[in-house]
Amino acid sequence: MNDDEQLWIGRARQGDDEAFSQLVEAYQRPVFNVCYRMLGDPAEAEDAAQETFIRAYTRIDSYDPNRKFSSWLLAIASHYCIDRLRRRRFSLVSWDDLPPWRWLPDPQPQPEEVTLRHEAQRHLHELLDQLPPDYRAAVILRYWHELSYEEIAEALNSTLPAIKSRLFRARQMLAQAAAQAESLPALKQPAFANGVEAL
Amino acid sequence: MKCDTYREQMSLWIDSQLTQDEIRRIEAHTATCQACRSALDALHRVDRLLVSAPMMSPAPGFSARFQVKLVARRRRRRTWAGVATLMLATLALLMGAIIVVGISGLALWQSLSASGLLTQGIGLLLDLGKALAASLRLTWLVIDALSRGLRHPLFIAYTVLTALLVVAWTQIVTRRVFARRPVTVNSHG
Repeated sequence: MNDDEQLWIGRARQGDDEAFSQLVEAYQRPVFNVCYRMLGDPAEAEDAAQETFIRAYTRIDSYDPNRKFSSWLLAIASHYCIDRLRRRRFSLVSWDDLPPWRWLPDPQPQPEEVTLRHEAQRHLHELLDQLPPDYRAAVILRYWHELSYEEIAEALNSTLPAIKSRLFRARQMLAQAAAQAESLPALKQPAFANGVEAL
Repeated sequence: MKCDTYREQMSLWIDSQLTQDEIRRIEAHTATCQACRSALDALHRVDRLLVSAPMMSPAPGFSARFQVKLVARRRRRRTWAGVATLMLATLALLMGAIIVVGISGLALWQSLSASGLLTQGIGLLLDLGKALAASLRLTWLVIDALSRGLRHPLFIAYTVLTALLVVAWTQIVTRRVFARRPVTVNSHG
């Protein structure tokens, strides 16, 4: 954690909105990424990311300065998305029902690239969608945010052996799903270099 | 060691959690076990797939949108707090009023009973009831008499005759008014 960040957190805890805005600016991307990878839809991810920051704003007093601020935020985002996915289970809308433009935030891409990108994103989400929400959260925190096993366990209120087992099972399930869908060759294409607004 | 244990260790290997010795043991096992070798390949493919997937960013203006949402949320919270305070205050006032009325009513009851005014009061109330019943009866008799008058043939004949005269008068007046209206010429053809 750098000095600026410590300063912003300290000021945000004293009710300084400007300081909290700096934190939002700094962490919008990782928080959005967790939400997007968990929910698979940009609009839902935006809403979930906003909600994550609102929760962080209202609970900033409960933040433990000995912990990494990013881990704390990602834990809030993960829990919110897990709850949302559990609620979604009762809804009848499927991923296939969503219109393709919902994966289209890139400025002016070539048609072929667009198709490949959408396909790649859709396949990846379909694979992640096979995982139970808490397994998916563990995979996302491990792969995109490079959290250690201990940090994942803390973020998801779990234990170290449980996280090891969760990651192992998640990988097995993903391998199985990929083999079943026979989609792995398509997913390995460089189309993954582009995302919603991948940098 | 069983294949299941090796496979569990493969996941730890991907996350760089194994010692060199443990890695060598897995390599020795996969050299002889085709199923575990396939499982390891599959895990590596999944690993490559996830590693190559990019970090996603929100659309520009996320921070500004957050500020708008935060302000709206605060306003909503303040409104709810105001409504809750108002409801509590109303409830408190209502409770206070009930307590005051209850205590006063009890005191009044006791005073009235002691002074004998209660018995007199009940007698007065009964008289009032009788007077009210007589008034209602009188009202009913007046309404009944009026309705009889309205149904009388003389009244009906008078009403019909008046209506006919009014219609006739209206017809005559209307014709005269229209007959006097000047004729306008449309200059535009």
